[in-house]
Formats: sequence, structure tokens, C-alpha cells
Amino acid sequence: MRAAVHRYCADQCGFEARRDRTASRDGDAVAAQSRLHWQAFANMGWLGAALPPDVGGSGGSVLESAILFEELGRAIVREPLLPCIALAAQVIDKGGTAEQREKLLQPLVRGELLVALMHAEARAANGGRDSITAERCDATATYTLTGHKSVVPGGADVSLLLVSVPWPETPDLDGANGEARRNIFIVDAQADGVIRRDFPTLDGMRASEIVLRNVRVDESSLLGEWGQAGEALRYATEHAMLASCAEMVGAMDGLLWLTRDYLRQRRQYGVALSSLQALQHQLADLFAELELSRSMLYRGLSAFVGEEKATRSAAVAAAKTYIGRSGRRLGEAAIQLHGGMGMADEYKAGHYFKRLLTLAVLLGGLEPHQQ
Amino acid sequence: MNFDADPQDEAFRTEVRRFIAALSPEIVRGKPLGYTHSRPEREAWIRALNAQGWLVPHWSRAWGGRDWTAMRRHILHDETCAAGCPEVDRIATDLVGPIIQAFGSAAQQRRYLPGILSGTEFWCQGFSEPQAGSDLSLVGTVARREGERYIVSGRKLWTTQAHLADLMFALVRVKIGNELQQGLSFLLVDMRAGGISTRPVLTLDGGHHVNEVLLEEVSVPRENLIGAEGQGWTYVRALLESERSSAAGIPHTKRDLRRLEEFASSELRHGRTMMDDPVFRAKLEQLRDELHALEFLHLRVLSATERGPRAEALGCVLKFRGAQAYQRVSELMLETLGERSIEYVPDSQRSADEAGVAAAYLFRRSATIAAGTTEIQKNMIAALALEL
Ligand SMILES: Cc1cc2nc3c(=O)[nH]c(=O)nc-3n(C[C@H](O)[C@H](O)[C@H](O)COP(=O)(O)OP(=O)(O)OC[C@H]3O[C@@H](n4cnc5c(N)ncnc54)[C@H](O)[C@@H]3O)c2cc1C
Repeated sequence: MRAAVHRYCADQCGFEARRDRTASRDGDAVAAQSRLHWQAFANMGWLGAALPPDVGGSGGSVLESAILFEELGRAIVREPLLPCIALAAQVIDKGGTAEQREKLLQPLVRGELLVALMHAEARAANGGRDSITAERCDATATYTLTGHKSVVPGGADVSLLLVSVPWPETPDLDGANGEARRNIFIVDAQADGVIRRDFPTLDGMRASEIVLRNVRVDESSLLGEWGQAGEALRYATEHAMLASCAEMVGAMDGLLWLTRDYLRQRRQYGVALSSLQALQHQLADLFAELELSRSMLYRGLSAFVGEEKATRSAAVAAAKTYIGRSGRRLGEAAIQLHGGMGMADEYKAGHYFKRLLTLAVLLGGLEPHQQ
Repeated sequence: MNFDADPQDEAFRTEVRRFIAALSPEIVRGKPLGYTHSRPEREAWIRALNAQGWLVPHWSRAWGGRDWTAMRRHILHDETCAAGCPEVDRIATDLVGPIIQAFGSAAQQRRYLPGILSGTEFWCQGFSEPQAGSDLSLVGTVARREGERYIVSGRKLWTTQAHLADLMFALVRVKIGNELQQGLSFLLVDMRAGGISTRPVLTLDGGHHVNEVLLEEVSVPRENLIGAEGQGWTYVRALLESERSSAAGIPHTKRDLRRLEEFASSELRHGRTMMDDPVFRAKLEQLRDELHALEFLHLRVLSATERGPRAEALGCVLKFRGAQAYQRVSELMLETLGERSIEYVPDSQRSADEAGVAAAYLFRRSATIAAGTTEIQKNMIAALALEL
């Protein structure tokens, strides 16, 4: 799988194409290209790499996701695989009824349906657990969703949103119970009251700010059983955090060797810069960052697969924070080592750096986790 | 050396504040983080400062200098920066202006200095080239002598504000007949001369700050040479020293520290403000202390009471640690905004400080590269101060 992903990325998602698409003002052409890539991802089985066979997946686990995302990171692929495949699809797989899994995941694996998750806002006053709420109307058996999320990666590309809301009776209940008892509603991204503002992100991709203003859904929109979404949400979030760790490791790896090669061919003062020990030591530091990050990823993966509940969440959160920080440090140093060339937007190093910065703050960010 | 609070200095600070307050808001209106003032905005500010006699206090008296103390110069920069005034053309006032005064002919001084004082002529610095970055001895732009003119060909890279500039001071290598000179020469070039083309080089923040300047058989009068052929490096040494202290950006970091505190006081994370987070607080205090130390180092460097190689090394410390502090404040802003920092807002659409945070962070990665990289500053410290 690693070799296949690597080959496709090298042939079809080369840096020049990425640069041109990021700079392009022709939104339609860029979208058409994205659709072609997405279809190819589906044909090669990437979209179902970590989904079970009964929905068309290949039965892989988070380990397959890690391999896939490490390669995507190395190639700085700019498609919304992380929010759709590593996060939302996992929520549906773990939280949906048999019928919902079949109805949603099969087209998703075929590349025909894109989904994103809209979850708590970390900025909100009480820590964000109820920044989105659902109010039930018993007479009509419907729910009204209200709330706000400032950054939804992939929000502009999807046709369905999974909206996560707290268990209404215990909005401020702390700890595992409060988190576990959540509901997720499946909402048409075009529904009345879904207000979306799309914006470009640092890494040349897109995200959306989404406001839900009295969005009406009925009981069939509930994912899985009432009050049972918390566990699926936790599982999927940790899966996505690990996928994003793997993507960062791939980007760090790509950026380290790019920098090494640049210093090998760049000559000043009559010598190749790579021969200067001051710079060799800096590269050695970056190698240490990379390999410690990779080790932290393995630790997270092993805890996740091991299913030892108490340590699992902590290990995943630690991996995400550690690798996010380490990726930023490596990125900053790689720019410095390139000199002026590192600052040029037309050069590859900056694209790696900006993807690393973006991944570092999504899905939990750089601050220590509060769970 | 005495940096005790002097009542005259405090009176001067008040005077500066009053001066700024009395100016038209068109000139000094505070702009959001990451905003780049337009050339007309900068010109208006330069005229106002010059009318007050404050544009070039460090120049010779004959050209408007004031013999100010280091503290006064510092106060002026500090206050104008805090008020969000535009930047003057420091490439002109701090780099080429002093060189023209020290090494230029009387005719060159009459030709070029008034344009700097009136803000009508902007300058750019054409030193770096694709193959000559840290090592400027590799400059390959050639000025072929033909009668009373030089015919200049070459390629300059990373040239800040070349797209706004009227004039460039360039390092070139003079060629007479078939012979290329060893030493570099310091030549003034009219940016409107035939054969010059400028291409934007966008930086990581998406902004247009630097350029590639192609010179193809550009004809430059011989009278545009500063000093003697092959002696350019002796003139440049003094310039690099002054470039280092203005590149340290201390007043900007001070101003941004206040912005950072504002963000952190209103930004909530997991139920409390960032300001209430002890880990964040500790980072902030560390930066504040670093800045205090840098400010006093800056005063030591400006006052120039310490001399010799070791004192020159102080300028190198100021440059790289100052640049790191300037980066650090933007790193903390980025951390404060969390995931919202990833929104990319184009230059022209930034209306609030927070919209410019990511762009500022990204562009500031260049603070430890431009005007001599951190590694080069350390090499110089090793040689000058540590005698290695
Ligand atoms: C935003 C920006 C604005 C600029 N504006 C101008 C301008 O207006 N005019 C102008 O002339 N130039 C300008 N420059 C160019 C700047 O001066 C050069 O980028 C800088 O001198 C470094 O040169 P370089 O980019 O070629 O990097 P290199 O010299 O190729 O350096 C690459 C890396 O190697 C390191 N290195 C190099 N030599 C050594 C050594 N001996 N020991 C240890 N490490 C070493 C460097 O520190 C760096 O990390 C600007 C650059 C930037 C980024």
C-alpha cells in the first residue's frame, strides 16, 4: 500500500501541480481536478482503507490510515482526506446503525459522497461542550439545531455534515460520562439555516465557518441510538488525530531531506553549505525531531490498537501535541536553513511548513489536552 | 554610561506624543497587524517628520542631524511605532543616506539627500543575488566601463521594495576591457533606466515584499559611483552595522507584546482566558524580560560609547536575539488564536489584528534571515568577541 500511494502521489500530485492549483483563480478547474483525484483515491481503495468489508472497505485499521496519511504528508496532497476519511467516516462506521452505515459509507467509499464533522468549539466559555445545541419539539418529533463552529476543514467540499451536540439533560456534566453521552445529527449541508463562510487556509486548502440557525431535523437524522454517540466520536477523533500525526511525520520527513539536499548543492564561501558543522548539527537536531515524532506516533498507534482505555486517550493526545510542536520547530528550522529560498512561496519548503502549522493546530492543537 | 530616567527625556516623550496626536489621522491612523502602508501614506509621514526636524537626527548637522542621545532616538522610534505610524524609508535614511554623506561627493550629496528628506525618492538595496547570499564576495553583477558610463548586467534577488523604489544602491564588479576587478564597487542606479525589469517574489505570507531585479545592459553614468572602484566593501561595513540595529525591530516587538496581551485577555480556551493559563503567562513573562534586556542592549549599541570588535559583536547579538524576540511574539499570537490562526486573509482584506497573525508569523521567519542570518551573526561574534 505504501508503495502504491507513494507512486500515485509522485506521478499525479507533484509539487508543481500543487503550487499552480493553490495559486489558481479558476475555482471550477481546481474543483474538477479535485474530483478526478478523489475518484482515483476511491478506485485505489484509499477511501475505504480503514473501513470494514461490509461497507466496501478493505478491512484495514488505524495502521492502514497511518501508512496512507504519512505518504499524503510527504506529497503535501491538498484534498480533504483527513476530515472526511479519517474523521467523519469513522464516526459513521462506529456510531451509525447498520442501515446508516450502508447508506452513507458505501457511496463514501466509492467517492460519491463527502462528509465532515462539526464538533465543539474550544473557544466557548464553558470549554465548548455545548456550543452547538439541539432542542426537541415533542409534538412534531423534530429537533432544532443551533450553534457555531469557526473552523470546519472540508466544510466547503461536503454534502453532509455530522453535527455533534451534548446530551441535553447534562450539558455541563464533566468527565467521561458527560463526554460519552452525546448525539450526532446528520444534516444536509444545503439545509435551511446552515450558513457557511468558506475561506482559504494557510496550507492552500479550504475550511469553513459554519453557523446553524434553527436547522430542523427529524428523528431519522439521529446517528445511531439516542445518547450513544460519545464513544464513536471519541474513537473517530483519536483515529483522526493519529492520521494527522502520521501526515505530520510524512511532511517532516519530506522537509528534512529536501533541506539536506538543498544544503548539499548550495555553495557559499567556496564550500557546500552541508559541509559546515554548524549546519550539520542543526540537521542532526531535525533528524532527532523527526525520529522522536515517529516514535511518538508508534506509541500512540500501539495504545490505540491495544484498547487499554485508561492510557489510550492520553497517549493519542500526547502524540498529537508532541508531534505538532516538533513539526513546527522542524518547519521553522528548515526555512532558516534554506535562507531566502525558504521564504519564497514558489518553493516547496514553505508548503510543507504551512501544512505542518495547520495540522498542528487542528484536532486538539498545541496546548496540552484537557481530557 | 547613564540610562537613568532623565526628566528631559520624559518631556521629549510627551512632546512626541503631542506631535503625533496633532497630525492628521490620515497619516498616523493605527493599522491592523500585518498591514503594509502604501507609498503615499509613507511619503506623507516622512514629510511630517522632516518638517518637525525628526526624520534623520542621526545624520550630520549639515543635512539635518541633531546630535541626539541614544535615548532620544529610541524614544522617538518607540513612540511612533506604538502609535502605529507608517515606516519611513529606512533603507534610505539608515543605510544609503549615511554612506552618501560619509563617502559621496558634494555633487552626489546635493543630488540624492534632498530626495530622501522630502520622501520623494525611495531606495532599494541591491546586494543579494541568486548565487551571492551570505557570501557577498560572490556578487556577479558586472559594470563594464565604457567611456563615461558603466553598462551594468546581472540579477539581484530578494530586493525589498524594488517595486516601489526610484533608486537602487547596488554592489557590482567593475570590468575594464577584459579585466574583472577583484573588489566590489558601490553604484547608484536609477530604477527607471532602460534594461531594468522587476519581478515580484511572493513570500510565505502571500505578500509582495521582495523582488527579483534583472539588469540587462543598463547604462549608468560614471558619476553614480560612490567613492572609488573596488572599494565598495569598506563603505558597506559601516552600513551593515546600522542595518543590524534597525533590523532588530525592538519597538515593533514591544508594540506587538501589547497586542498579544489583548488577544490573550479575550481569547477563551477550555473555559478560561489564555491570560489565566499559567503556562502561557510564563511564556509571556519570559519574552517581556528578554525584551527589557534587548532594549538596554539597543541603547548601549546606539550610544556607541563602547568601542572595538567586542562592541561590534554587541550589534550582532542585538540583531539575532532581537529578530528571535520579534518572531517569538508572533509565535505566541499564533498559539493564542489556536485553530483560528489557519485562516488565510489576503493583505488587502485584513481589517482586524487577528486576521494578520498567521501572515505576520510567516513573514517574520525572514527576520533571522534578512540583513545577515543568525548563523552569520554567530560567526561574527565568534570572530569579533571570542577571538576564535
Ligand atoms: C524578506 C527578505 C528581505 C530581503 N531584503 C533584501 C534586500 O533588500 N536587499 C538585499 O540585498 N538582500 C535582501 N535579502 C537577502 C538576504 O540578505 C539573504 O537572504 C541573506 O543574506 C542570506 O542569504 P541566502 O538567502 O542566499 O542564504 P545562504 O547564504 O544560501 O544561506 C543558507 C543557510 O546557510 C547558512 N549559512 C550560510 N553561510 C554560513 C556559514 N558560513 N556558517 C554557518 N551557516 C551559514 C545561513 O545562515 C542559512 O541558514 C532579503 C531576504 C529576505 C528573506
